Parts: sequence; structure tokens; C-alpha cells
Amino acid sequence: MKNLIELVIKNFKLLFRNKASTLIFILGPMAIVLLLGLAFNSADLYGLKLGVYSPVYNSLNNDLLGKLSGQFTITKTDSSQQCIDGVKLSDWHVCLVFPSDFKITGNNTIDFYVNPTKMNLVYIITNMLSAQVSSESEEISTVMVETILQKINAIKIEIEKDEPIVNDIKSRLGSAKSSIDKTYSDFSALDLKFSETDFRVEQIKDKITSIRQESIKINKANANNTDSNSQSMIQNAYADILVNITALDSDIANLSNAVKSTKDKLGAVSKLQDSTNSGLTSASSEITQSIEKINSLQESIKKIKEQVAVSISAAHIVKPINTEIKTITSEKRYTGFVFPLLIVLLLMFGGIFLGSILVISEKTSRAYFRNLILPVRRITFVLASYITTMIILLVEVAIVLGVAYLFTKTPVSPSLALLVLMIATVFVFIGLMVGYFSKTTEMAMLLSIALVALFLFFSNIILPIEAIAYLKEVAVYNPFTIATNIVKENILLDIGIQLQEKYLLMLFGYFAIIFVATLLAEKFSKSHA
Amino acid sequence: MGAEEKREILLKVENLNKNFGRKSILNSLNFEVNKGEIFGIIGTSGSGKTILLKTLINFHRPNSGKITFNETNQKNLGFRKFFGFSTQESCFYPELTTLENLHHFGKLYGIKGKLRKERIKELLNLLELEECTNMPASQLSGGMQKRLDIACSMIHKPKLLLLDEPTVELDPLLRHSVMRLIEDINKKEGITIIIASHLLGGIETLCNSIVILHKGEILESGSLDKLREAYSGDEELLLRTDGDQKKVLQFLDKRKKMLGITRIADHGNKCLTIYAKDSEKVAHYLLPVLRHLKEKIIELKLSKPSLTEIFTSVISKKKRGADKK
Repeated sequence: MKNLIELVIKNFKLLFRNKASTLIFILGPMAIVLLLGLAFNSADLYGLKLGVYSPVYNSLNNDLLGKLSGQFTITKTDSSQQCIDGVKLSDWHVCLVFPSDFKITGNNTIDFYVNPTKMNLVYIITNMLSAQVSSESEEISTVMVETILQKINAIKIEIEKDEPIVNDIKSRLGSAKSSIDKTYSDFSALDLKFSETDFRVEQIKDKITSIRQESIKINKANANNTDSNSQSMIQNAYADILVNITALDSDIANLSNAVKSTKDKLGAVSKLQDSTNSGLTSASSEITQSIEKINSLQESIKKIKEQVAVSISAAHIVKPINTEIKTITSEKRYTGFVFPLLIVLLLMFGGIFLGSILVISEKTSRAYFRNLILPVRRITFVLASYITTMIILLVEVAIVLGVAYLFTKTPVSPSLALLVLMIATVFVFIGLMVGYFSKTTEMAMLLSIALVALFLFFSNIILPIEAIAYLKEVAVYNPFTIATNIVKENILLDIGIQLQEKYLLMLFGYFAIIFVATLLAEKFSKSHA
Repeated sequence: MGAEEKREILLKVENLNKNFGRKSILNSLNFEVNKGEIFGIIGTSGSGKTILLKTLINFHRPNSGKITFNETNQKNLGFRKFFGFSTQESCFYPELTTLENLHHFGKLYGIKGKLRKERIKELLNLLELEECTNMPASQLSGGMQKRLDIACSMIHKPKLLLLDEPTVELDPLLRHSVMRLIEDINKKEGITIIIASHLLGGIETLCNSIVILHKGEILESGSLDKLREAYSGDEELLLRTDGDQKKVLQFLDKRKKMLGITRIADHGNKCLTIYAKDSEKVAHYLLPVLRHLKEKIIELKLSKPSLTEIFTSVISKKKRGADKK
């Protein structure tokens, strides 16, 4: 233990004796972090340039450019080629070429020309431009849809206005039908049956004939009457009877004619009744059908009313599904999101570079051989280098965390401290391993840079690797990715280490492998002394 | 040097082999290092000196052979307290001060506070580093850096100090100073020292025993005298007189065979160099003759073969042998 402390003290003495190395060791990684912090300490992006070409500038593209000018420095060019060449020459990041008839109803395709070699920037800018253009398109659509909605609303009012009329017609038709039906019913109830025999004209005639015959008989019998008075009287009566019978015959003849006439008239009425009934039935049927149609019309009106009565806004029609990205953290600035990344970057850069520089400095030191023949175990030297690097690294991280706490109130939990310790250990041992494997400072630096580049490549820093199938598989095992994920989860999502078992096991696995490799590399490096 | 009487073996190497892949670096090495002596391993660059030193401390594991240290298990971590190692390039933290470096390595060797302070004081005194205790090591001169490196290697009072090319890249004055320092350390601290170097100047006067290493093989080993015995070259005798040297030359010509003279070089300014197997024997015979001839001796210089000459001879002999094969 005393040896370990002595070696650590010696390492610090050596580090601080050389001012240049002190600056590099202490301030280098912090300067990187500071610069990155400043670069990302905003939700906006600055200094993005946009080249624009449009044969004609109208209110539509001027309006769009006006909006874009808030985020981009816009340069109007004289030709589309000049605009595209500007992208090639990096005069601006993206070129927008409007069609000659750029209007809502015309050709409204805007061409974006981007430089694919600047992939990350291109993604950011095209996303921003697309967002702005979409916003403008949305506004235009909203206006158009609002006009349509106004017209639909006018139709709705008109329909609502006509609806009572239809109801009234229906009501009136209903009344008319009732009247017709009643008339039909009453008319049908009329009894127009007529029978001549009911007047018993023939029986009356027969009885009159019988009376006449009887009268004749009486008169004939009277002729034998001995009583002249009575005979005369009977004769007179007989004459009167004959006169009355004759009158009666005439009346009966008239009655018979009248009956016949009545019969004929009733026959005509009956025929009229039949034809009227048929007409009434037909009218009733027509009215029924009309009512049904009106019912159908009413249904339609009701449905139309319901359809147009949907209280929907133009914004809903233009953008029926709204996406609102709600972060699961309250962080607003890029620094907040980038902060875990910065911490891990610091740990990775610091751990690998400090570790490898410390070891290679020791190996190329004039005292190296003496160290190898000292009665001190080799692992003590490895641990001394580890502790020295860790102390420097943890001081740097503490400063960064302290500054972060002051400005962003990022909490530093004990679990975060533990994670930082674990991650730093892995990267420091990678650095030590690189140092022991290397024969020269140049080799150590190249190896460190290569490793850091490899870790960065297989992460999301350079490429959106999580979207690339095969690389994604590899990226999962990248210690930098693992470290970034656990620190992100810890800081931004407040996930405790007990839920990060998988990541921690992977980190521990890395540590075990690298620790053994470091010891082997250290043993191997001795033979070069 | 003071350990000559005792001859207690501190380190014994038997049939040591070390390969890197298929390349043989050390090949069947055998030697012993006595306690308290300064042991030199000399060889050309790439002969395997540094690897031999690192193999001795078990930094490189030998492929075969045996290295035995006195009462110490080489595989224990505690073994590292047994030796100190100073490499060719100074091995400390240039950014730290002299004092900080010593405290740092002292702590890592497990030396407690007060003892450590005392030890550092001793070393600063011994290695004459007191004036630069608070100077960053990078600002020390080359010689001082070497001293600091040796101090760091000795902070824990090792029984064995291995110095790999301790004088390389130092100017002659500093080289001499470091050699004197090594001698002091050996004498004052009683530490056994193994020096590996391809710079032979000073080693011959410093080391009790030397091995000549060439392409991973020991060509010769032993004390300097023993090496000289194995030396196949001539010794030199330089003679400068003020008179006519013709008679001297005649005398020597007649007795060339008897005196073992291989060659006489007349430099023309009354100066001769006589090459013989035994220059002392030549001088022994020549001095009465010169007195008889009444030649006034201005300069008479006997020179034994230097370690460089022995080394060159041994290597050349090896190369000739290899060429013959």
C-alpha cells in the first residue's frame, strides 16, 4: 500500500513538473467539454446558410422565405446552377430551387439540393426546412379548408331553413290524405240500391184492374137492382170509381215512369260513385307515396344536417392527427440531453488518453528499467497508473458535474457517481492496456485515437447507427454506447442502477477482460525494456 | 580489492545459455565472482554484456545453466534488494530532484524514514552530490547524473552492484572520476561490483577479475596477470640514449633469439623500441651493456601489454580461429 501511494505521488509529481503536460492532462479534456457544452447550450442552430433560386418571387415563396430567414441566412442566386454550385463550394449548406409557376394550384414542388458528404448537417437542415415548408403548406391548406367549411356551413343553414317547409308539406299532404280517405269512406257508404218491385206498381195495377172488374160486376149487378136510387147511386159511384180508376191508372203510369227515371239516375250515380272511389283511392295512394318520399327527404335532410353539422375545425382537417413530442424529461436545452454524452466523452477521451499517456510516459521514462528491478510487484505499478488517472479524471468529471449543477441543476446522485466510477475504470484500463501494448508514444497515441474513433463510429455520434441493421448489433456491445445509455438513463430518466443490471454486467465483463489484457500487456511490455 | 585474502564466492555462473528466439546471445558461460571484488566483463558492443548482467539479476530468464547467489533465492522478490543495477543510460526520473529520486527509490526499496534519510546523506557525501540535492536531475551534468544513477542503485545497500558501461559517453576526466568513485564504493561500502564495459581504460587497474566476452562466449577470464599470461603479443621496451646506438643494436641483434626479441624499431632520433616476449629480461641484459658502452640513458620505458592490447589480441586470435574454421 505504501508503495502504491508512493507511486501515485510520484506520478503526480511528474505530471505537475511539466507544465505543458499538466495543461494537456487537466485542461485538455475539460476544454473539449466546455466547447461542446457551449456549442450545444441552446435549442437553436446558428449560422446555417441557405441558397435560394426562384425564377419568379411571388407572395407564396416570399412568405416561405420570410419564415426561413428566422433560422437561416438566405442568399438569393441568379440561377439554379449557381445555387447548386454554392452547395458544392460550401457557400451555403442547402440550395432551394422553386419552380417557375410556384403557386398553390400550380407546380408547387421545391427541390432541395444537399451535400451528402455532410450527412449530419444535411439531416438537421432538411428536417428544419421540411418542417418550415410543411408549416407553410399547412397554413395554406387551413385557409382552403376553412373556405370549404364555410360553404358547407351555408348549405347547412339553407337546409335548416327549408326543413320546416318540407315538414309543412308533409303535414298538409297528411291532412289531404285523411280528407280523401274520409270522403272515400263516406262516399262508399252511400246505398244506391234501387228495386222497382219495391213500389208494387204491378200489384197496384192488378188491384185497380180487380177493382174495375169488381166495379163492373157491381154495376152489372146494379142493373138488376130494383131500387133505382140505390141503383142510381150505385151507378154514380160506379162512374166515379171508373173516373178515379182511370186517374189512378194515369198516376200509376206516371209513378212507373218516375220509378224508371229514378232507377236510371241512381244507376248513373252508382257509376259515378265507382269512378270517384277509384279516383280517391288513387289520390290517397299518390299522397301516401308523396308522404313516404317526403319522409325519405326528411331523413336525407336529417342526415345531411348531421353530416355537415360535425363541429370540425379546418386545422383538424388539415392535420387530423397531431403529433406532439413530449419528452420524458423536463430538459429543454441540448446541453441537458448532451450532458450525459459529454460526461461519457470526457471519461472515454480522458480515460483512454490519460491512461495510455501515463503508461507510455512511464515506459519511455529513463527510470523504467529501474522500476522493473525494484522489489515492487508489477501490479502495483498498474494500479498506481490506474489510481493516478482515475484521480485526474474524477477531478475533471467533478468540475464538469459541479458546473453542470450550477447551470442546469443536473443532480448528482450516488448511483451516478458509482456509474462514473465504473465507466471511468473501464476506459482507464483500456488506456492502460493501450499504453502497455505500445512501444512508442506515437503508437500509443495512434492506438488511442483509433480506439476512440472506433467507439465513436459504432455509436450514434457519427452515424444514426441504431437505424443500421448490422451495425446496430455491434453498437450494442460498444462500451461507449453502453456507458452513454446508462448515464443517460440515470441522469435524464432517473433510472436507478438496480434496473441497469444488463448494462452493468456488460461493463463488468469489459472490465474483467481488459484488466486481464492489461496485465498481460504489462508483462509483455517488460521484455522490451 | 580488500577481499583478495578471503575469496568467498558471491556469485557462480555455470553453463549459462540465453537465446532470443533462435539467436544465441550467451553461450555456455562459466565464471565466479568473489565477495568484495570488482569484477569486469569486457567485450565489444553487441557481445552480450548487458544481457549477461540482466540475466544475472533474473530480468532475463536463462534458457539453461545455473546462476547461484550466496544465500539468496533469485526468484524471490526480496532478491531484488540483493543487487543494485546502474544501466548505461542513467535510470532515474529527470523531472525529480536528486533528493526526490533518492527518496522515491528508497521508499520503494522499503527503507524507513530515518534510515532512508541517513542513507541518502551517506550517499550524497560518498558520491559528492550534496551541492545538487534540490536540482532537477535533468539539469545535472553528465558526470553528476551518472553519480545519481549509481546512488539510486545503492540506496538499499546492495550486496552486489552491477554497472553497465558506467563511463560511456563521459569525457576522460569524468571517466577517471567515476572510476575513482567505483573504487571508493568498493572500499568504503564493501560492495561487490560487476562492471560491464567496452571502454577498457581504467578497468585494468580497477578490476580484480575480468572476463572477455565475445559474441556471447567467454574467451578469457581471470586476473589481469592471468590474462597477460594468455596474451600472445610482445611487450615493449623503449630506449632513448644520447650516443651512437649502433653498438647497442649489434648487441641486441646477436642475442635476439636468446632474449626472445621479435623486432627492433629504430625511430632514428636515438630512440629504439624493442619488441620481446619478456621486456624485463631484455632490460636486465641491456642495462650492463649500456653501462659498459657508456651510453647515457635518457629514457627507458618498459611496457606490459595493456588490457586493450590483451583484449585486441584475444579477439583477433578468436577471429583468426574462426576464419580458419
